[in-house]
Amino acid sequence: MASEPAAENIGYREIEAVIDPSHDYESVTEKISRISLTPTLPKSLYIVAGISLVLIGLLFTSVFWLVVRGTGIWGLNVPVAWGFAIINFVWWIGIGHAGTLISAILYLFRQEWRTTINRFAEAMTIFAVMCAGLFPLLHIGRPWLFYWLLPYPNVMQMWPQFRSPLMWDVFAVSTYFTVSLLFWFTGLIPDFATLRDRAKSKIARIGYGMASMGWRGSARHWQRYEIVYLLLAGLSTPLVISVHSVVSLDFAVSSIPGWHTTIFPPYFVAGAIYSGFAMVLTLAIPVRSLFGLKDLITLNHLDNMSKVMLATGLMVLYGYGMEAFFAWYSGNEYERYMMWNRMTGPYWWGYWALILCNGVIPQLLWLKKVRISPIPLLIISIIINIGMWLERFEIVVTSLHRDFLPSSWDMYIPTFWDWSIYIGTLGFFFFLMVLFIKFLPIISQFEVRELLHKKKHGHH
Amino acid sequence: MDNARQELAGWKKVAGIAAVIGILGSIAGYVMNHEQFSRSYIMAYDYWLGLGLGGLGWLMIIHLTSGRWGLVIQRPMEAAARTMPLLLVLFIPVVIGMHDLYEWTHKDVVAEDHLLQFKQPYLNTPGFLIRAAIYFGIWIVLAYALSRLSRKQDETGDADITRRLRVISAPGLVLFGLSATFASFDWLMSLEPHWFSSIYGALFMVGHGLGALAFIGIVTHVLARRKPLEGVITPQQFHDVGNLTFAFVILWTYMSFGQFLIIWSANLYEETMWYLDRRYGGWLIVSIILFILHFVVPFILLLMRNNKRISGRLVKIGLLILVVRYVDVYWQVAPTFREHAASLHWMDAATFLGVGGLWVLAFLRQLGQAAVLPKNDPRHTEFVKGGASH
Repeated sequence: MASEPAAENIGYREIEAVIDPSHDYESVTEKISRISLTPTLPKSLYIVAGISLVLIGLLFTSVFWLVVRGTGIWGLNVPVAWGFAIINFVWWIGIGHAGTLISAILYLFRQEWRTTINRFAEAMTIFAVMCAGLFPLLHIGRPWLFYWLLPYPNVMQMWPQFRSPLMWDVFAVSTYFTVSLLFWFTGLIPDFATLRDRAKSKIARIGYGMASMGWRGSARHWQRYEIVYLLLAGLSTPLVISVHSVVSLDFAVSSIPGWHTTIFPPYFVAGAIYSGFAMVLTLAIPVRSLFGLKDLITLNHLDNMSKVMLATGLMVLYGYGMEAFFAWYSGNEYERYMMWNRMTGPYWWGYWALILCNGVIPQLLWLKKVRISPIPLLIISIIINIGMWLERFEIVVTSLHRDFLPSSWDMYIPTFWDWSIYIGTLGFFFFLMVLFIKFLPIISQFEVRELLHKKKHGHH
Repeated sequence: MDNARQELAGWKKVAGIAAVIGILGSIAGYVMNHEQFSRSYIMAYDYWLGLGLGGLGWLMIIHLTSGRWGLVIQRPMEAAARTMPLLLVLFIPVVIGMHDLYEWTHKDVVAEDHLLQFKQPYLNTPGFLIRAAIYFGIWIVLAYALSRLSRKQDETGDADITRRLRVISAPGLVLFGLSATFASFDWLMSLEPHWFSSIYGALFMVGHGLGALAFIGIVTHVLARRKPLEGVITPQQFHDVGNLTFAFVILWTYMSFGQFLIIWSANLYEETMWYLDRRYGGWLIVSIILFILHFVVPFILLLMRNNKRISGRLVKIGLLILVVRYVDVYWQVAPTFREHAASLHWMDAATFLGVGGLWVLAFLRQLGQAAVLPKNDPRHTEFVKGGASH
């Protein structure tokens, strides 16, 4: 071990470690289980749940009205046939990506700090993908015929168009949801068993007992469990890249200026991880202070997540740069006009707001002080979430609303129903998050115990 | 010279002979047909530039991530990055051959080509030269600043240097990404000035990053046979390097295939023409070989755990990658000038040996200047002193 003062100098002891070393196995288990086993929640979460419930009501009302009247109640028109539905779909699914990155890729990279945030991020992934999936279903106009998207033998002799990335989306997103759910649930099993053993009320014991699927924590269980977890991490890894790449192809395979450009797949993936980490921070910062988890989700975590945001944010900025450069360099007048219109046309405010939110303000993350200050970080991550939404708005709307023929140009103005469904899904998401915080262990207990073991007894 | 580097002494002889043969061949070639010379030279230059650039990029990633795998390849990466001044000198033939390489330098062609006139604010000779000077300035300053600091730490043991290396590397990587991207546009993409692809710069960096990793993996394997690396490098470090190679093989394929799929689907002539050149006249076979050897074969081999942990096997995969990297460079560049038929010219080999021989000599010289393993880095003190305890 290097001498302590040296370590001090290079910044490794400047902030807390990934876990407070004063913890022992019992104290972490107690601390985390207590959240799920206490019958009440902090007052502020009841307020969040109440508001979310109202928004869910709004969501159901809007969906009902949409089914009755059809997608005409949205602000869609020709040429802007893809509006909020696609914007929100891409936004939500992008947010999900951080969970998979944290739980799968960081696991394979042996990044120990992921241990206290992975459960949380995985839950966020699943809820975000649920919100995302709602939009294409509603956008098809007749949601009750959604199964037409699936290739099944039918009397109509109809098959889906396999050459369309929209078709690939069906498979990509459903695979993503299934694998994420399995990964999440598998991770939860030992913790369900812990809760089962600690619960005082009979109902809780039965509920957690069923969910733990007979887990007894024998050495044989653990040995197999570790292998299964590693395999699931390996299987989830390609999904981090593939899902948003397919989403980007929805746009890029067309010949529409603003959509058709070869940088799209990696640029979309970077943007997804960027927005996902922003959402993890948006949720984690309030939760760690609400439940006194600052010794488990430490400043070290905030620092690391900020660095990931800074790196992916720079990649996204590189993407904006390439888009702008090639709009000019291509020499294609439609490409050039699209970019010019994006920057100075009727939606100019959106473009520059997105540059401000995604490109300029996050540069504050270069400063270590900002990376370890929860409140500024919370504000920056909310700004990034807004910026990433604006990015999808700009990509979808400004590429379409003035197309090749000036006679068919039109403006896209979202209606009340566009907004209500979007805000409704926000309520849905936050309500599920509150349920998750109430009933499930929000930090993976057994992985934290394992981390403690490693920290105290060295690696094996 | 310590023991480890004696293993590489044999390389010096081979590189020296290759350099002499290559340079003589290149001079003869230039006298006989300067047009052909330039068109072969740009491929050789691109290939060896990639190893130097890749070394610089990896070096900064190593400082930022501070993994153990990085410690054992840091010095070879530094040596590769420090070949930048040589690569600047070797850039001179590209400048001399500009007229034979770049259609947009021909005044008569530009006068009749609307698109090239439009692109003139970017594609013009002074701009090309000024930008090249900026790129090399960035690369040389970064390579020398980082390697000097690290060598200074060997002597002084100043722990603060580790922090300063990170402070340089983070913005350094941003500058590196931008300069390498635009260098690839200037020197390679503008060989076909009508064509464009916004992923070109990223693909250039990933391809060359892969090549540099494969090359340094081989060097490390040789160095690991003797002290001081013997016993310090464990199969785990090779496993990590192998996993990174695997990831970069996939990343290269992902970007290459993404570019192809997007261009194929939209089917716009301004973009498809580049792929059409690579489809007819024997080029389809080269394209298929590239797909199989640059993706399928290394992908399957690198899936297997032992192929990454046994360094002798990793070396063979690395050699395959180094060969197929040239196929990629050839596939990117040559169809521009040989659109009717895929062919090889003896000057391809001569320039490759000439540039390569000189580059390897410079690399070995740089490698000999500093300790093979960085000393006094507080992050790794335990690891280096304790040897292979893990």
